[in-house]
Amino acid sequence: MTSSLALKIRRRPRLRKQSSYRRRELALQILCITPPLLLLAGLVGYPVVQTLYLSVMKSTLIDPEPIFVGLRNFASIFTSAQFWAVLVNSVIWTIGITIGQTVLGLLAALILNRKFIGRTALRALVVIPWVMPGVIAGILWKLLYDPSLGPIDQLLSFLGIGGGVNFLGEPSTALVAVMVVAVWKGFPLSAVMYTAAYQNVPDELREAARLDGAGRWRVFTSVVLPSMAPTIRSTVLLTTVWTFNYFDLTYVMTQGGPGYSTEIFPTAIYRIAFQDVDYGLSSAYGVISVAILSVFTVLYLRQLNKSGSLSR
Amino acid sequence: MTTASQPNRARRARMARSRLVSYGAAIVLTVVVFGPLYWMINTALKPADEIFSSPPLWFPLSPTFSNFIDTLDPVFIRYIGNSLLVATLTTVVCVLFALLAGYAVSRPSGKSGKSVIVAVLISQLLPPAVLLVPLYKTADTLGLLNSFGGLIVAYLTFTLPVAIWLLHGFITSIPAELEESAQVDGLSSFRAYFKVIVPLARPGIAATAAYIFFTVWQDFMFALVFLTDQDMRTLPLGVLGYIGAYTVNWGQLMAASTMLLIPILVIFAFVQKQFIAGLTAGAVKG
Repeated sequence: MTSSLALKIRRRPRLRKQSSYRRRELALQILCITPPLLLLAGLVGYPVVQTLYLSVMKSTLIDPEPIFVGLRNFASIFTSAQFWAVLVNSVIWTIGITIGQTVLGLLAALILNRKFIGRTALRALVVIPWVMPGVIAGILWKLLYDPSLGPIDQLLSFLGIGGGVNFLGEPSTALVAVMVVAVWKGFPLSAVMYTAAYQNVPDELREAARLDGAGRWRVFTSVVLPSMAPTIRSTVLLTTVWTFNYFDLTYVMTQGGPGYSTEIFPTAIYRIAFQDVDYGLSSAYGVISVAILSVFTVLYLRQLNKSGSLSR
Repeated sequence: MTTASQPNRARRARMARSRLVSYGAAIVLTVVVFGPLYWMINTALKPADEIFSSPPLWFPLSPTFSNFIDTLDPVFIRYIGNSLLVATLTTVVCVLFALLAGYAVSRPSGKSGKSVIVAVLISQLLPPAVLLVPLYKTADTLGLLNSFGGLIVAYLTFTLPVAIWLLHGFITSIPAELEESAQVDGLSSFRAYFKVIVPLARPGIAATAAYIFFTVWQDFMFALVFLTDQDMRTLPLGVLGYIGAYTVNWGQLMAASTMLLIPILVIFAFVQKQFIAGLTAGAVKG
């Protein structure tokens, strides 16, 4: 189509031409959306359905043909001490890390918005823990925690807090020790988000509050924080979901142990499926974890809808 | 505020204090972020006897690159190649599909937009561990275990939704009038999208591609399940090989970790600005 033709079309027969045009456009759109949607349906939709199906079946390594057992997998889950340990661990893990990342992220954002030489470099480099593979972070911190080879033990005994504790080997400290690593690895993302959100708070707003006699803290809590609230809400919800799903650190650092002291949903699903080869039980764990996550998914969608990200 | 010099002095004192706080806080942040990374490089540069000294040494007494040289054997180089191949192919396939989807979803005339985006978001938040078992079983029946093809397809489960969502953010931020004027000039909407909008979204596409690349480069769980053949291992999986049954070769482990980080940092240096813009504007729009 040349431009002169296009101009002619815009004159009289516009309505008819446009409707055929629209139809063609619609066909093209459908053509374009079909391959990605088919892929998603096959790769995400089908596994979800399959998980639901497997969760009511039972198969073992010796007897791999699945038989229908109804809700027996769920019944055995809810009566096992292990499940409740996993649930409690997951709750502590998710809430603790999310709070840690949010608080540290906010603090880091405040620091990165002050003036100092090297600020640009620090803003760029602060993301390194976040972009580093979880396996590497896990291995590195295993060395840091090592009672005889790592610096943490030495630092603690130097400070007189005590030493000789094998943080990853004790059921009472292992979960918190892995959580510390997860916070270290994850807070840079929150810091980046909050730094950007902080910069978006209009200077005039801060100025006006200061002129009204508000102190620093007051300006922060009643002007800056409310303006950052939508970003904080979205980031917290995303962090919650990502943390709940996070597998690598726990797998590398403790494999869910000692005992079940660091077992969370993703590691439990993995272990039951690929070490115990009990797909039914593993899928039942999967169904429960999706049920828990759906609450946060709904909250996240509502938050996005409210902030207008879903509409154009 | 009576005289001119007094508030000046007070202000200068306040500024000095504020600067002190800034630098103090910046140093604390630097130590928190880079302290562990320092230990990684410190260990990588130590000869074996210094690594196993207890109490540990805070800097190498006789630094050596032998850990790096020993690490770079053909097997490790093979892991690097595997990782590069898988991450690059996944990124290309994923971005292509996401761009196709973007035409239907993110254009002003697209009517299916919102519902597709909601579906995409929901699938983005599903636990990958849950998808793992069915995908593994399917790949097993199709004979796709221990093949990069199978792994790449599996990676699309969690990269495609993110890519569609990120690109959606970038593409909708391009003014619709640009595309409309291209259509007035006689381009079909399809061609207007690929000739006008997509080139304009190039920074966003780069950021999305970088994000997908990181995600795949880091992945451990899927590689662990899909690849059992030693030769097929990707880097994160291969690095675990340095943890032996009896001893851990910390020097090589840390040298390998350092080298694993470098490509990510190089890529990140290039796309950092768009990357952060995309995350803040697209995924977590305020």
